[in-house]
Amino acid sequence: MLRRRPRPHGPASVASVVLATLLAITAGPVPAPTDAAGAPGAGGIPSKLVIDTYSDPGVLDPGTQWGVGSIIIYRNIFDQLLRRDPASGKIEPGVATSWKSVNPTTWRFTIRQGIKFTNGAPLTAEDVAFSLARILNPALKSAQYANYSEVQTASAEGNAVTITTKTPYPLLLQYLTILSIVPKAYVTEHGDAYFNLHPIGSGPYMLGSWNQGATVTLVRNPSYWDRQGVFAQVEYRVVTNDATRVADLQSGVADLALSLTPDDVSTLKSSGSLKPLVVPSEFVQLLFYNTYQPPTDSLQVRRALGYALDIPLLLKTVLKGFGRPVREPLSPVVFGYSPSEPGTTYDPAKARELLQEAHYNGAPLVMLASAFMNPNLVQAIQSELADVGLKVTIQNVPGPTYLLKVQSPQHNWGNLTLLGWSCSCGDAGGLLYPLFYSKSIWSSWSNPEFDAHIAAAESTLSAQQRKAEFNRALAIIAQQAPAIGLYQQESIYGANAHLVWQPNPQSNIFLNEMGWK
Amino acid sequence: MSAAPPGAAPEGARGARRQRWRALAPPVIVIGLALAAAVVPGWLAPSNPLATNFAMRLQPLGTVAGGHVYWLGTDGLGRDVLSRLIYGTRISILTALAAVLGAGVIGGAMGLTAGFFRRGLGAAIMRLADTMMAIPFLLLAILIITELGSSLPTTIVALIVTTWPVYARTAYATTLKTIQAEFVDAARAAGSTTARLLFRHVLPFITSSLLVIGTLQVATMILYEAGLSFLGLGAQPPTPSWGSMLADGEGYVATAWWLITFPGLALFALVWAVNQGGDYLQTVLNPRLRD
Amino acid sequence: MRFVVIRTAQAAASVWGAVTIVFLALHLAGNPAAIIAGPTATAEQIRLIAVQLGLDRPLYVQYLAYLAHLVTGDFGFSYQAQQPALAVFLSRLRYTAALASTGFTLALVLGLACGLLMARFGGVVERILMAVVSGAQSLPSFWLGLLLILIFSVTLHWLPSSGSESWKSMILPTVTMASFLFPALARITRQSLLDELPSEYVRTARAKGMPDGLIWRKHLLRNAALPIVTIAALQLAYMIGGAVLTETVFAWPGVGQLTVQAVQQLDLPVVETIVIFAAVTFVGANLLADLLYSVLDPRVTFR
Repeated sequence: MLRRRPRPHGPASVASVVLATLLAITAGPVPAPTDAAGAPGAGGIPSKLVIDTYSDPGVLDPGTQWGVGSIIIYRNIFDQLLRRDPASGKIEPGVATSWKSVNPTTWRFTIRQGIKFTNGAPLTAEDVAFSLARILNPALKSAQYANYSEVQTASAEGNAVTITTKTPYPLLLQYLTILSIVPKAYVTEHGDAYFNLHPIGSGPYMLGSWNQGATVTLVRNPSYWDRQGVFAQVEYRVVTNDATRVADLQSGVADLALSLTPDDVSTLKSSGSLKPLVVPSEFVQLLFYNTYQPPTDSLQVRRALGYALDIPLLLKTVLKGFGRPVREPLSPVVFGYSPSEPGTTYDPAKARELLQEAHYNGAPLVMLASAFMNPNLVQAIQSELADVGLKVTIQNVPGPTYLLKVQSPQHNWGNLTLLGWSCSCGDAGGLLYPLFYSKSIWSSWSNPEFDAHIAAAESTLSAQQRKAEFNRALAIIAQQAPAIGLYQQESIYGANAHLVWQPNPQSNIFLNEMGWK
Repeated sequence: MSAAPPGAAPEGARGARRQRWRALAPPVIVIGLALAAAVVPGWLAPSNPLATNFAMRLQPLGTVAGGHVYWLGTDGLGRDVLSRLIYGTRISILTALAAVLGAGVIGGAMGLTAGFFRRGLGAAIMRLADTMMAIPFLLLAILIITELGSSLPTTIVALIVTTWPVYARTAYATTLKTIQAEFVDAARAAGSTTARLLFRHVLPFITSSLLVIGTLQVATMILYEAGLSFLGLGAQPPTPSWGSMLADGEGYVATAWWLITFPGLALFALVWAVNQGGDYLQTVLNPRLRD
Repeated sequence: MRFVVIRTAQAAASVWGAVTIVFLALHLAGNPAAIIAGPTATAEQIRLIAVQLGLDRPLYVQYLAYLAHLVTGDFGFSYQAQQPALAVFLSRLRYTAALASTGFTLALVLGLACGLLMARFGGVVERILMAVVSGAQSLPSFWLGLLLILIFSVTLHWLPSSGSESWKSMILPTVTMASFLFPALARITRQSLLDELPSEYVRTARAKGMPDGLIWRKHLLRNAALPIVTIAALQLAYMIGGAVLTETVFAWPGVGQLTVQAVQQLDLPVVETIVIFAAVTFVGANLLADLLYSVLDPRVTFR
């Protein structure tokens, strides 16, 4: 086959031009290098603290999402209306210096004078009212809507804010501890989308830079009205893999790593320059049942599940002891926890007996699982249940699909699932109502007596009365077993040995509470 | 530069063939082992791959305990890694073969049809194939699995849906070429030749070209399945699959290195062996490519 | 010229088709309003959010509205990120582009070098290099990534295991990407060079007494370039889709990671933005390759 002689400016030249063009188009600017984890400044304190977090914040607008990944960042940019003492749970002044319940559905808050946003504007009662009203505006599509859905109006007069609720709302103050105050003029002028990328608050830190998906850098606010942060800069790095967060600590790239596993603790302890920080949290892990789908529609089967699980063994082996047993599906540090409930006991013989009583025919139970769960725990539970003859098939779905399935009105999501829950409000109502009240979107159970007690607890401000109602509600849960409490979660952090910080049960990170020695 | 093609043995054709046979031995052994593990894992595996043992979590290689030898150590739930590795072979091979078969049959049929009915239906099919290829593989796979739920069958479905265009294109091209050659002769032959007769003529050619593509794709499918399992989208726990074993081990890279080493090694060995086999098959079926 | 127009129209149709298929698939997969509303929302609140997003309209209305916005260059507003979908995509593209360019460059260098050496020298050299190429082709990219982390970060502490700031954190992901891409390049380089060897003009040049090295440099490389360019263009297009597995292992915040996240959150504007860019790149690369062939190699004709 004859071939022509190649032309002088042959294909190769063209090819190289094409390739060069393609490369030029795709080679964007390489992300700008940032400093390595803080070189020590005066007195050995690093000028920049580096925190490895497990998920991208996604948003910095404090009125929209309130996932842990976001709030640990933006709650340092903004102040909150009230504060909560981490140990006692007592409500303390924040932006509001004092408050009063004028009547069960009306509250008045006095706003502190002299606070300024970092753009110079003073923080007034108008800003407070605005911050609350915008969450309730459907146009914002706020995930925090449910926290304040009981609020009727929020209005400002002078330096006071009046909030009225539709019915007496006992959790109002707790949820106001997570209401961040945003500058009304700035937000209305620039719009929500701009505000999300350029947040302005009055908190101890300001936004320095945000590399989406990678890092968020905060810079100290020199004119903050309360306690100053020790670090001039703080950088949050998104590192989704837990082992990589540990590696970052070991190599000195990070000073604090969040959400580590029990298996990492020994690594931290054996290192001379690192230390584990562990705190029992408000999060509880519970095994949640679908009472509408067989075989978990049978009370005996549900009770058998409780007897089949050797929870202390699971805690000792799978969690290496980092989890505290609970007597009900609540964390012991929340208001309303009842220490007088018996809880579950391990008795496989009784479990088998109950299964026989229920005429359990060996039908498989579907356990709905997702990536945010501890996979070892999921499989360990499956294995323990198999020991008493309960066949469990695990169905793994992505996070969003998980929500859709469990919340579907058809209640066909399976038979059991592992849930970790905290309302961030330190109150039993924040869990019992959304998970077990029959009309709640999560509820896969219906018990009118329970509903009555919970409704009563949610409509009075009297702590004593609420506690009594909670006790009765919890007793019903113990009898009817729509779920069982597995354990109180312990938050595990890894830190540089020099870092001075006490983690709190609410998983909050307030940068101005950290120190260095 | 020598006149002889590079890589040829100096003894000539027979020597070259013998050398090729010798080179085939390792891949054949690996594939043989893999098939044995897939068909009769119970004979080869020392323990039950699903048996958890919380007291023996994360034990290193060669741990001896309770009458068991954990040759490759244990995982986060105390299960024997070697046994899980052996049982996991089944998932890899099964998924790959099913995906190749499914995509090959469907894609081949589509390509054949498109070749016959070039205007209208044929054009539509090839446009569809082009469109499917333009969607990033993983995006489409994740979407399908999100909709249908993670499981072994849905993984196979996702793999078939994303790879059938490759087979369709090949079948289409081969059909066109064959028709051009055959049509003339057939037209000359007495009587009207029905589509069915042409099917009988065209099909053998398509089958051989699809076979070539298919053997190469088996290795790719093994890797894709492992990748999907690694992302949590494949066979569900506690069923062992090499990809999910790698995902489980990712959290223990520093403390239990054996959890990622051996599943990965198994993947590597099997894919390499299949690739070698595929290369050989290619030279047999397509002599033009022989060195 | 008519050929160019037809092919371009076909390419555009493919992109449109891809967008439509993904649109339908996402709608079948579930309701993104529930995901935005968060776990504690009531059914009523989810419905309110769905109305805000226009999800209560009939499907064909939503589809037409989406297309109408698209032709004006409006890619929509991300459901999750409270930002324009295009902005979200571009903020991640820089990372993918950085990794793609370094990884691809390395792959190109390795692939061309290996292919060249294999075709030029044959024998032992070819056997060794072919083994390397086969090995790299069989290596799962995510496993290689994990091994590299194990060796270079955890054990030797030479390189960082994560992050995207310094050039050091790019080394391991780049090597991983390159090892994934270079085998195909090496093979096609070798193959197309071997295809050129028996050609008439080579024999002619040798008969004229031209030294081997000169033949290689002056003729063979140029003529063999075409198939290599085709494969290279396709690989580049593939990388715009983001190397999901590599990015996941190294926590590299590129388009791949964004894809997984956005699909699972049913964030339609972002997913479609990714699909559009990936489809356009893929289809464009194919088109470019076809055009190059028709322009540069007159033997190849198109009906």
